[in-house]
Amino acid sequence: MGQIRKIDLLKVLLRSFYIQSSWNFERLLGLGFCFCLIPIARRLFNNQEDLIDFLQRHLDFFNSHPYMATYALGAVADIEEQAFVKKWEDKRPITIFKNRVIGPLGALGDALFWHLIRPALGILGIILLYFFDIWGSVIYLIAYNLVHFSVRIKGLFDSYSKGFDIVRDLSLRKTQKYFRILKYIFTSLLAVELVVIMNKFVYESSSWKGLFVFIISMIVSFLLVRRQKITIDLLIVIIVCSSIILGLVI
Amino acid sequence: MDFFPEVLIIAIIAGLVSIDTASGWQVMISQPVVSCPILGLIFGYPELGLLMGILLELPWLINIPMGGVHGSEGNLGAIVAASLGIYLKSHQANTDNIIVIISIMYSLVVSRVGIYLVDYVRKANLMLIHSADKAALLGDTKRISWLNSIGLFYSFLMGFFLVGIGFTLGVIVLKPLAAFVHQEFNFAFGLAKYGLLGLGIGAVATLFITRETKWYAVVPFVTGVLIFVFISIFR
Repeated sequence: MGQIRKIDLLKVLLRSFYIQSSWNFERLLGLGFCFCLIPIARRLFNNQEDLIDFLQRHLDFFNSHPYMATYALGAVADIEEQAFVKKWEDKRPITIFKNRVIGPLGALGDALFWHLIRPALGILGIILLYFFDIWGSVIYLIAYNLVHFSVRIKGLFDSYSKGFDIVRDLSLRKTQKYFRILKYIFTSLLAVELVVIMNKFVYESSSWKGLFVFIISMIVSFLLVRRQKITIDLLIVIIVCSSIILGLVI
Repeated sequence: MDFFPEVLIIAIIAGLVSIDTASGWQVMISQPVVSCPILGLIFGYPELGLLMGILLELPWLINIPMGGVHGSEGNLGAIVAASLGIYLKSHQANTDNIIVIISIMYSLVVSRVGIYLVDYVRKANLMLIHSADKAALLGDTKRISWLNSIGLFYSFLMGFFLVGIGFTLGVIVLKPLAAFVHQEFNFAFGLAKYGLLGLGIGAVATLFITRETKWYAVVPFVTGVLIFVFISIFR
Protein backbone atom coordinates (compact mmCIF):
# COMPACT_ATOMS: atom_id res chain seq x y z
CA MET A 1 0.00 0.00 0.00
CA GLY A 2 1.34 3.38 -0.91
CA GLN A 3 0.73 7.07 -0.92
CA ILE A 4 -2.30 8.77 -2.40
CA ARG A 5 -2.09 9.40 -6.15
CA LYS A 6 -3.76 11.97 -8.35
CA ILE A 7 -6.13 9.35 -9.73
CA ASP A 8 -7.39 8.69 -6.19
CA LEU A 9 -8.12 12.37 -5.72
CA LEU A 10 -9.94 12.44 -9.06
CA LYS A 11 -12.08 9.51 -7.89
CA VAL A 12 -12.83 11.41 -4.68
CA LEU A 13 -13.79 14.43 -6.79
CA LEU A 14 -16.23 12.39 -8.89
CA ARG A 15 -17.71 10.78 -5.80
CA SER A 16 -18.12 14.19 -4.16
CA PHE A 17 -21.01 14.83 -6.57
CA TYR A 18 -22.91 12.16 -4.62
CA ILE A 19 -22.04 13.28 -1.10
CA GLN A 20 -25.65 14.19 -0.35
CA SER A 21 -27.21 11.01 -1.78
CA SER A 22 -28.00 9.46 1.57
CA TRP A 23 -28.64 12.61 3.63
CA ASN A 24 -30.36 11.61 6.87
CA PHE A 25 -31.52 13.21 10.08
CA GLU A 26 -29.03 11.36 12.29
CA ARG A 27 -25.61 11.95 10.72
CA LEU A 28 -26.52 14.22 7.79
CA LEU A 29 -23.71 13.72 5.23
CA GLY A 30 -21.97 10.98 7.24
CA LEU A 31 -22.50 8.12 4.79
CA GLY A 32 -21.80 10.33 1.75
CA PHE A 33 -18.54 11.55 3.28
CA CYS A 34 -17.36 8.00 3.92
CA PHE A 35 -18.43 6.99 0.39
CA CYS A 36 -16.31 9.79 -1.10
CA LEU A 37 -13.21 8.73 0.84
CA ILE A 38 -13.33 5.05 -0.13
CA PRO A 39 -10.67 5.45 -2.90
CA ILE A 40 -8.33 6.86 -0.24
CA ALA A 41 -9.07 3.94 2.10
CA ARG A 42 -8.41 1.44 -0.69
CA ARG A 43 -5.08 3.11 -1.47
CA LEU A 44 -3.83 3.44 2.11
CA PHE A 45 -4.98 0.38 3.99
CA ASN A 46 -4.13 -3.22 3.38
CA ASN A 47 -4.83 -4.14 6.95
CA GLN A 48 -8.50 -4.98 7.61
CA GLU A 49 -8.39 -3.53 11.12
CA ASP A 50 -7.14 -0.15 9.89
CA LEU A 51 -9.74 -0.16 7.13
CA ILE A 52 -12.57 -0.84 9.59
CA ASP A 53 -11.27 1.88 11.88
CA PHE A 54 -11.16 4.31 8.90
CA LEU A 55 -14.70 3.50 7.74
CA GLN A 56 -16.17 3.83 11.22
CA ARG A 57 -14.40 7.14 11.75
CA HIS A 58 -15.82 8.64 8.58
CA LEU A 59 -19.34 7.29 8.88
CA ASP A 60 -19.75 9.64 11.80
CA PHE A 61 -21.72 12.91 11.74
CA PHE A 62 -20.65 15.39 9.08
CA ASN A 63 -22.27 18.34 7.43
CA SER A 64 -21.21 20.92 4.86
CA HIS A 65 -22.39 22.81 1.84
CA PRO A 66 -22.19 20.14 -0.92
CA TYR A 67 -19.82 22.11 -3.16
CA MET A 68 -17.52 23.08 -0.30
CA ALA A 69 -17.29 19.53 1.05
CA THR A 70 -14.26 18.91 -1.18
CA TYR A 71 -12.29 21.22 1.13
CA ALA A 72 -12.89 18.77 3.96
CA LEU A 73 -12.37 15.70 1.73
CA GLY A 74 -8.99 16.88 0.42
CA ALA A 75 -7.72 17.88 3.84
CA VAL A 76 -8.89 14.64 5.45
CA ALA A 77 -7.20 12.66 2.65
CA ASP A 78 -3.95 14.46 3.43
CA ILE A 79 -4.29 14.01 7.19
CA GLU A 80 -5.16 10.32 6.84
CA GLU A 81 -2.10 9.90 4.66
CA GLN A 82 0.08 11.60 7.26
CA ALA A 83 -1.44 9.44 10.00
CA PHE A 84 -0.71 6.33 7.92
CA VAL A 85 2.87 7.26 7.01
CA LYS A 86 3.81 8.51 10.47
CA LYS A 87 1.86 5.71 12.17
CA TRP A 88 -0.19 7.89 14.50
CA GLU A 89 -1.41 6.11 17.61
CA ASP A 90 -4.23 8.55 18.24
CA LYS A 91 -6.54 9.42 15.33
CA ARG A 92 -8.75 11.82 17.28
CA PRO A 93 -7.25 14.94 15.59
CA ILE A 94 -8.90 13.80 12.33
CA THR A 95 -12.36 13.77 13.90
CA ILE A 96 -11.68 17.05 15.67
CA PHE A 97 -10.61 18.59 12.35
CA LYS A 98 -13.82 17.41 10.66
CA ASN A 99 -15.97 18.88 13.40
CA ARG A 100 -13.97 22.09 13.26
CA VAL A 101 -14.67 22.70 9.54
CA ILE A 102 -18.39 21.88 9.53
CA GLY A 103 -19.46 25.41 10.52
CA PRO A 104 -17.20 27.39 8.13
CA LEU A 105 -17.90 25.13 5.14
CA GLY A 106 -21.65 25.45 5.59
CA ALA A 107 -21.55 29.18 6.20
CA LEU A 108 -19.22 29.94 3.28
CA GLY A 109 -21.09 27.74 0.81
CA ASP A 110 -24.51 29.05 1.76
CA ALA A 111 -23.35 32.67 1.63
CA LEU A 112 -21.56 32.29 -1.69
CA PHE A 113 -23.82 29.93 -3.64
CA TRP A 114 -27.33 29.93 -2.21
CA HIS A 115 -27.41 33.62 -1.26
CA LEU A 116 -25.39 35.14 -4.10
CA ILE A 117 -24.50 33.15 -7.20
CA ARG A 118 -27.63 31.02 -7.67
CA PRO A 119 -30.17 33.87 -7.36
CA ALA A 120 -28.04 36.28 -9.39
CA LEU A 121 -27.61 33.74 -12.18
CA GLY A 122 -31.29 32.79 -11.87
CA ILE A 123 -32.29 36.30 -12.86
CA LEU A 124 -29.60 36.35 -15.53
CA GLY A 125 -30.96 33.00 -16.79
CA ILE A 126 -34.38 34.56 -17.35
CA ILE A 127 -32.87 37.32 -19.47
CA LEU A 128 -30.79 34.77 -21.36
CA LEU A 129 -33.98 32.84 -22.18
CA TYR A 130 -35.52 36.02 -23.60
CA PHE A 131 -32.58 36.71 -25.84
CA PHE A 132 -31.30 33.25 -26.77
CA ASP A 133 -34.29 30.91 -26.24
CA ILE A 134 -33.15 27.38 -25.26
CA TRP A 135 -29.51 28.44 -25.71
CA GLY A 136 -30.07 30.73 -22.74
CA SER A 137 -30.40 27.60 -20.57
CA VAL A 138 -27.15 26.25 -21.97
CA ILE A 139 -25.31 29.53 -21.27
CA TYR A 140 -26.81 29.58 -17.76
CA LEU A 141 -25.61 26.02 -17.08
CA ILE A 142 -22.10 26.77 -18.37
CA ALA A 143 -21.82 30.01 -16.36
CA TYR A 144 -23.03 28.42 -13.13
CA ASN A 145 -20.98 25.27 -13.42
CA LEU A 146 -17.78 27.10 -14.27
CA VAL A 147 -17.93 28.53 -10.76
CA HIS A 148 -19.31 25.34 -9.22
CA PHE A 149 -16.70 22.99 -10.72
CA SER A 150 -13.82 25.35 -10.06
CA VAL A 151 -14.78 25.56 -6.37
CA ARG A 152 -15.00 21.76 -6.10
CA ILE A 153 -11.67 21.18 -7.90
CA LYS A 154 -9.80 23.99 -6.15
CA GLY A 155 -11.22 22.90 -2.82
CA LEU A 156 -10.01 19.32 -3.18
CA PHE A 157 -6.50 19.98 -4.44
CA ASP A 158 -5.82 23.06 -2.27
CA SER A 159 -6.93 21.34 0.88
CA TYR A 160 -4.99 18.18 0.00
CA SER A 161 -1.81 20.22 -0.29
CA LYS A 162 -2.50 22.22 2.90
CA GLY A 163 -3.97 19.59 5.21
CA PHE A 164 -4.81 21.00 8.64
CA ASP A 165 -3.79 24.50 7.50
CA ILE A 166 -6.80 24.79 5.19
CA VAL A 167 -8.76 25.91 8.26
CA ARG A 168 -7.05 29.31 7.99
CA ASP A 169 -8.46 29.81 4.47
CA LEU A 170 -11.98 28.96 5.57
CA SER A 171 -12.56 31.94 7.80
CA LEU A 172 -15.87 33.67 7.07
CA ARG A 173 -14.44 36.91 8.49
CA LYS A 174 -11.54 36.73 6.07
CA THR A 175 -13.73 36.20 3.02
CA GLN A 176 -16.50 38.57 4.06
CA LYS A 177 -15.01 41.58 2.27
CA TYR A 178 -14.96 39.65 -1.03
CA PHE A 179 -18.55 38.57 -0.47
CA ARG A 180 -19.50 42.18 0.17
CA ILE A 181 -17.93 43.26 -3.12
CA LEU A 182 -19.75 40.41 -4.89
CA LYS A 183 -23.00 41.50 -3.26
CA TYR A 184 -22.53 45.08 -4.52
CA ILE A 185 -21.83 43.80 -8.03
CA PHE A 186 -24.81 41.42 -8.02
CA THR A 187 -27.12 44.09 -6.57
CA SER A 188 -26.20 46.44 -9.41
CA LEU A 189 -26.60 43.60 -11.87
CA LEU A 190 -30.05 42.85 -10.42
CA ALA A 191 -31.09 46.49 -10.99
CA VAL A 192 -29.85 46.42 -14.58
CA GLU A 193 -31.58 43.07 -15.16
CA LEU A 194 -34.78 44.51 -13.76
CA VAL A 195 -34.68 47.37 -16.28
CA VAL A 196 -34.05 44.92 -19.13
CA ILE A 197 -36.95 42.68 -18.01
CA MET A 198 -39.30 45.64 -17.64
CA ASN A 199 -38.34 46.84 -21.09
CA LYS A 200 -38.46 43.46 -22.78
CA PHE A 201 -41.41 41.86 -21.01
CA VAL A 202 -43.66 44.78 -20.27
CA TYR A 203 -42.71 47.89 -22.18
CA GLU A 204 -42.24 46.23 -25.58
CA SER A 205 -45.62 44.51 -25.32
CA SER A 206 -47.18 47.95 -24.59
CA SER A 207 -49.08 46.63 -21.58
CA TRP A 208 -49.23 49.42 -19.01
CA LYS A 209 -51.62 47.40 -16.85
CA GLY A 210 -49.09 44.59 -16.92
CA LEU A 211 -46.36 47.02 -15.89
CA PHE A 212 -48.51 48.21 -13.01
CA VAL A 213 -49.22 44.67 -11.76
CA PHE A 214 -45.55 43.76 -12.18
CA ILE A 215 -44.30 46.70 -10.09
CA ILE A 216 -46.92 46.35 -7.35
CA SER A 217 -46.28 42.59 -7.06
CA MET A 218 -42.56 43.21 -6.87
CA ILE A 219 -42.86 45.77 -4.08
CA VAL A 220 -45.40 43.77 -2.07
CA SER A 221 -43.36 40.57 -2.40
CA PHE A 222 -40.14 42.35 -1.42
CA LEU A 223 -41.71 43.78 1.73
CA LEU A 224 -43.52 40.60 2.81
CA VAL A 225 -40.62 38.23 2.14
CA ARG A 226 -38.11 40.52 3.84
CA ARG A 227 -40.21 40.58 6.99
CA GLN A 228 -40.59 36.79 6.74
CA LYS A 229 -44.31 37.11 7.29
CA ILE A 230 -45.38 34.64 4.62
CA THR A 231 -44.41 31.45 2.79
CA ILE A 232 -43.63 31.78 -0.88
CA ASP A 233 -46.44 29.38 -1.86
CA LEU A 234 -49.06 31.46 -0.08
CA LEU A 235 -47.60 34.60 -1.62
CA ILE A 236 -47.94 33.08 -5.10
CA VAL A 237 -51.62 32.30 -4.43
CA ILE A 238 -52.28 35.84 -3.16
CA ILE A 239 -50.46 37.56 -6.04
CA VAL A 240 -52.06 35.39 -8.73
CA CYS A 241 -55.58 35.77 -7.30
CA SER A 242 -55.18 39.54 -6.81
CA SER A 243 -53.84 39.96 -10.35
CA ILE A 244 -56.81 38.03 -11.79
CA ILE A 245 -59.31 40.04 -9.73
CA LEU A 246 -57.60 43.27 -10.78
CA GLY A 247 -57.74 42.12 -14.40
CA LEU A 248 -61.47 41.49 -14.08
CA VAL A 249 -62.14 44.85 -12.43
CA ILE A 250 -60.09 47.20 -14.65
CA MET B 1 -47.72 10.98 -28.27
CA ASP B 2 -49.84 8.54 -26.24
CA PHE B 3 -50.64 9.46 -22.67
CA PHE B 4 -48.65 6.77 -20.82
CA PRO B 5 -45.35 7.16 -22.70
CA GLU B 6 -45.74 10.91 -22.08
CA VAL B 7 -46.25 10.35 -18.34
CA LEU B 8 -43.27 8.01 -18.27
CA ILE B 9 -40.94 10.54 -19.93
CA ILE B 10 -42.14 13.33 -17.62
CA ALA B 11 -41.70 11.12 -14.54
CA ILE B 12 -38.17 10.08 -15.56
CA ILE B 13 -37.20 13.72 -16.09
CA ALA B 14 -38.72 14.50 -12.68
CA GLY B 15 -36.67 11.70 -11.10
CA LEU B 16 -33.49 13.22 -12.52
CA VAL B 17 -34.59 16.68 -11.38
CA SER B 18 -35.23 15.30 -7.91
CA ILE B 19 -31.69 13.89 -7.78
CA ASP B 20 -30.15 17.12 -9.01
CA THR B 21 -32.14 19.21 -6.54
CA ALA B 22 -30.63 17.73 -3.40
CA SER B 23 -29.09 14.28 -3.76
CA GLY B 24 -26.50 14.31 -6.49
CA TRP B 25 -24.66 16.42 -9.09
CA GLN B 26 -26.41 19.70 -8.23
CA VAL B 27 -25.35 21.10 -11.58
CA MET B 28 -28.67 23.02 -11.74
CA ILE B 29 -30.36 21.06 -14.52
CA SER B 30 -33.14 20.95 -11.92
CA GLN B 31 -33.75 24.70 -12.12
CA PRO B 32 -36.95 25.62 -13.99
CA VAL B 33 -34.91 27.89 -16.24
CA VAL B 34 -33.32 24.70 -17.63
CA SER B 35 -35.86 21.92 -17.06
CA CYS B 36 -38.98 23.69 -18.38
CA PRO B 37 -37.47 24.71 -21.76
CA ILE B 38 -36.18 21.13 -22.14
CA LEU B 39 -39.69 19.76 -21.53
CA GLY B 40 -41.09 22.28 -24.00
CA LEU B 41 -38.55 21.19 -26.57
CA ILE B 42 -39.24 17.46 -26.06
CA PHE B 43 -43.01 17.81 -26.41
CA GLY B 44 -42.96 20.31 -29.24
CA TYR B 45 -43.98 23.49 -27.40
CA PRO B 46 -40.66 25.30 -26.84
CA GLU B 47 -42.25 28.73 -26.31
CA LEU B 48 -44.51 27.46 -23.52
CA GLY B 49 -41.51 25.75 -21.90
CA LEU B 50 -39.56 29.00 -22.03
CA LEU B 51 -42.45 30.95 -20.51
CA MET B 52 -42.82 28.46 -17.64
CA GLY B 53 -39.07 28.61 -17.02
CA ILE B 54 -39.16 32.39 -16.89
CA LEU B 55 -42.13 32.51 -14.51
CA LEU B 56 -41.07 29.72 -12.16
CA GLU B 57 -37.32 30.18 -11.85
CA LEU B 58 -37.29 32.89 -9.22
CA PRO B 59 -40.05 32.37 -6.62
CA TRP B 60 -38.54 29.29 -4.94
CA LEU B 61 -34.93 30.51 -4.99
CA ILE B 62 -35.40 32.07 -1.59
CA ASN B 63 -36.11 28.65 -0.05
CA ILE B 64 -32.53 28.09 1.00
CA PRO B 65 -31.75 24.56 2.25
CA MET B 66 -29.91 24.73 5.57
CA GLY B 67 -29.28 21.57 7.54
CA GLY B 68 -32.57 19.70 7.77
CA VAL B 69 -34.71 22.71 6.88
CA HIS B 70 -36.07 22.83 3.35
CA GLY B 71 -38.95 24.51 1.59
CA SER B 72 -41.49 23.18 -0.87
CA GLU B 73 -40.23 21.24 -3.87
CA GLY B 74 -40.46 24.08 -6.38
CA ASN B 75 -38.31 22.36 -8.99
CA LEU B 76 -40.66 19.37 -9.14
CA GLY B 77 -43.64 21.71 -9.03
CA ALA B 78 -42.23 23.49 -12.07
CA ILE B 79 -42.00 20.18 -13.96
CA VAL B 80 -45.67 19.49 -13.19
CA ALA B 81 -46.69 23.01 -14.21
CA ALA B 82 -44.77 22.90 -17.50
CA SER B 83 -45.96 19.38 -18.40
CA LEU B 84 -49.57 20.16 -17.57
CA GLY B 85 -49.42 23.43 -19.49
CA ILE B 86 -48.04 21.60 -22.52
CA TYR B 87 -50.62 18.80 -22.23
CA LEU B 88 -53.56 21.20 -21.88
CA LYS B 89 -52.31 23.34 -24.76
CA SER B 90 -51.86 20.32 -27.00
CA HIS B 91 -55.45 19.33 -26.19
CA GLN B 92 -56.64 22.90 -26.73
CA ALA B 93 -58.20 23.01 -23.28
CA ASN B 94 -58.33 26.80 -23.21
CA THR B 95 -56.36 29.95 -24.05
CA ASP B 96 -52.63 30.07 -23.23
CA ASN B 97 -52.89 32.44 -20.26
CA ILE B 98 -55.60 30.44 -18.53
CA ILE B 99 -53.73 27.18 -19.08
CA VAL B 100 -50.45 28.58 -17.74
CA ILE B 101 -51.92 30.05 -14.55
CA ILE B 102 -54.13 27.07 -13.75
CA SER B 103 -51.17 24.71 -14.21
CA ILE B 104 -48.96 26.83 -11.96
CA MET B 105 -51.59 27.02 -9.22
CA TYR B 106 -52.02 23.24 -9.30
CA SER B 107 -48.24 22.74 -9.17
CA LEU B 108 -48.17 24.52 -5.80
CA VAL B 109 -50.09 21.61 -4.29
CA VAL B 110 -47.63 19.10 -5.72
CA SER B 111 -44.64 21.07 -4.47
CA ARG B 112 -46.19 21.18 -0.96
CA VAL B 113 -46.67 17.41 -0.97
CA GLY B 114 -42.97 17.21 -1.91
CA ILE B 115 -41.99 18.63 1.49
CA TYR B 116 -43.37 15.57 3.27
CA LEU B 117 -41.93 13.13 0.74
CA VAL B 118 -38.43 14.59 1.12
CA ASP B 119 -38.68 14.12 4.89
CA TYR B 120 -39.87 10.57 4.31
CA VAL B 121 -36.88 9.84 2.04
CA ARG B 122 -34.52 11.26 4.64
CA LYS B 123 -36.04 9.01 7.27
CA ALA B 124 -35.65 6.05 4.91
CA ASN B 125 -31.98 7.00 4.55
CA LEU B 126 -31.57 6.33 8.28
CA MET B 127 -31.81 2.61 7.52
CA LEU B 128 -28.98 3.03 5.01
CA ILE B 129 -26.62 4.59 7.54
CA HIS B 130 -27.35 1.84 10.05
CA SER B 131 -26.67 -0.81 7.38
CA ALA B 132 -23.47 1.08 6.54
CA ASP B 133 -22.37 0.78 10.18
CA LYS B 134 -22.66 -3.00 9.86
CA ALA B 135 -20.81 -2.97 6.52
CA ALA B 136 -18.02 -0.89 8.11
CA LEU B 137 -17.54 -3.54 10.79
CA LEU B 138 -16.80 -6.02 8.00
CA GLY B 139 -14.63 -3.53 6.10
CA ASP B 140 -17.01 -3.88 3.13
CA THR B 141 -16.39 -0.74 1.05
CA LYS B 142 -18.44 -2.01 -1.90
CA ARG B 143 -21.53 -2.32 0.26
CA ILE B 144 -21.06 1.20 1.61
CA SER B 145 -20.88 2.53 -1.96
CA TRP B 146 -23.97 0.52 -2.85
CA LEU B 147 -25.90 1.87 0.15
CA ASN B 148 -25.06 5.45 -0.83
CA SER B 149 -26.34 4.74 -4.34
CA ILE B 150 -29.62 3.45 -2.89
CA GLY B 151 -30.11 6.90 -1.33
CA LEU B 152 -29.80 8.35 -4.81
CA PHE B 153 -32.36 5.87 -6.09
CA TYR B 154 -34.83 6.80 -3.32
CA SER B 155 -34.56 10.39 -4.41
CA PHE B 156 -35.21 9.41 -8.03
CA LEU B 157 -38.26 7.38 -7.01
CA MET B 158 -39.61 10.30 -4.98
CA GLY B 159 -39.50 12.64 -7.98
CA PHE B 160 -40.72 9.92 -10.35
CA PHE B 161 -43.85 9.08 -8.38
CA LEU B 162 -44.64 12.57 -7.10
CA VAL B 163 -44.64 14.06 -10.58
CA GLY B 164 -45.99 10.98 -12.36
CA ILE B 165 -49.02 10.81 -10.07
CA GLY B 166 -49.28 14.59 -9.71
CA PHE B 167 -49.33 15.05 -13.48
CA THR B 168 -51.88 12.27 -14.05
CA LEU B 169 -54.22 13.64 -11.38
CA GLY B 170 -53.67 17.13 -12.78
CA VAL B 171 -54.79 16.00 -16.23
CA ILE B 172 -57.91 14.37 -14.75
CA VAL B 173 -58.83 17.42 -12.66
CA LEU B 174 -57.62 20.35 -14.75
CA LYS B 175 -58.71 19.33 -18.24
CA PRO B 176 -62.42 19.85 -17.51
CA LEU B 177 -61.67 22.71 -15.12
CA ALA B 178 -59.62 24.63 -17.71
CA ALA B 179 -62.43 24.22 -20.23
CA PHE B 180 -64.86 25.56 -17.65
CA VAL B 181 -63.10 28.95 -17.36
CA HIS B 182 -64.55 31.38 -19.88
CA GLN B 183 -62.13 32.66 -22.49
CA GLU B 184 -63.11 36.22 -21.64
CA PHE B 185 -60.93 35.83 -18.56
CA ASN B 186 -57.85 35.40 -20.72
CA PHE B 187 -56.70 38.99 -20.16
CA ALA B 188 -57.13 38.76 -16.38
CA PHE B 189 -55.14 35.52 -16.24
CA GLY B 190 -52.51 37.16 -18.45
CA LEU B 191 -51.99 39.85 -15.84
CA ALA B 192 -51.20 37.13 -13.28
CA LYS B 193 -48.10 36.27 -15.36
CA TYR B 194 -46.77 39.79 -14.81
CA GLY B 195 -47.64 39.45 -11.13
CA LEU B 196 -45.70 36.18 -10.87
CA LEU B 197 -42.64 37.65 -12.52
CA GLY B 198 -42.76 40.68 -10.22
CA LEU B 199 -43.15 38.35 -7.23
CA GLY B 200 -40.06 36.38 -8.23
CA ILE B 201 -37.89 39.44 -8.67
CA GLY B 202 -39.20 41.05 -5.48
CA ALA B 203 -38.52 37.87 -3.48
CA VAL B 204 -35.01 37.38 -4.86
CA ALA B 205 -34.23 41.08 -4.33
CA THR B 206 -34.53 40.46 -0.56
CA LEU B 207 -31.31 38.42 -0.82
CA PHE B 208 -29.43 41.40 -2.25
CA ILE B 209 -31.00 44.68 -1.26
CA THR B 210 -30.25 45.82 2.28
CA ARG B 211 -29.67 49.24 3.81
CA GLU B 212 -26.01 48.81 2.99
CA THR B 213 -26.53 47.94 -0.68
CA LYS B 214 -29.63 49.99 -1.55
CA TRP B 215 -27.72 52.65 -3.51
CA TYR B 216 -26.05 49.96 -5.59
CA ALA B 217 -29.56 49.03 -6.73
CA VAL B 218 -31.14 52.48 -6.99
CA VAL B 219 -28.43 54.20 -9.07
CA PRO B 220 -28.16 51.57 -11.87
CA PHE B 221 -31.95 51.16 -11.89
CA VAL B 222 -32.68 54.88 -12.30
CA THR B 223 -29.88 55.23 -14.86
CA GLY B 224 -31.24 52.24 -16.81
CA VAL B 225 -34.80 53.57 -16.80
CA LEU B 226 -33.62 57.01 -17.95
CA ILE B 227 -31.61 55.43 -20.78
CA PHE B 228 -34.63 53.46 -21.99
CA VAL B 229 -36.93 56.48 -21.74
CA PHE B 230 -34.35 58.53 -23.64
CA ILE B 231 -34.01 55.85 -26.32
CA SER B 232 -37.79 55.41 -26.69
CA ILE B 233 -38.33 59.19 -27.06
CA PHE B 234 -35.76 59.51 -29.81
CA ARG B 235 -36.56 56.22 -31.56
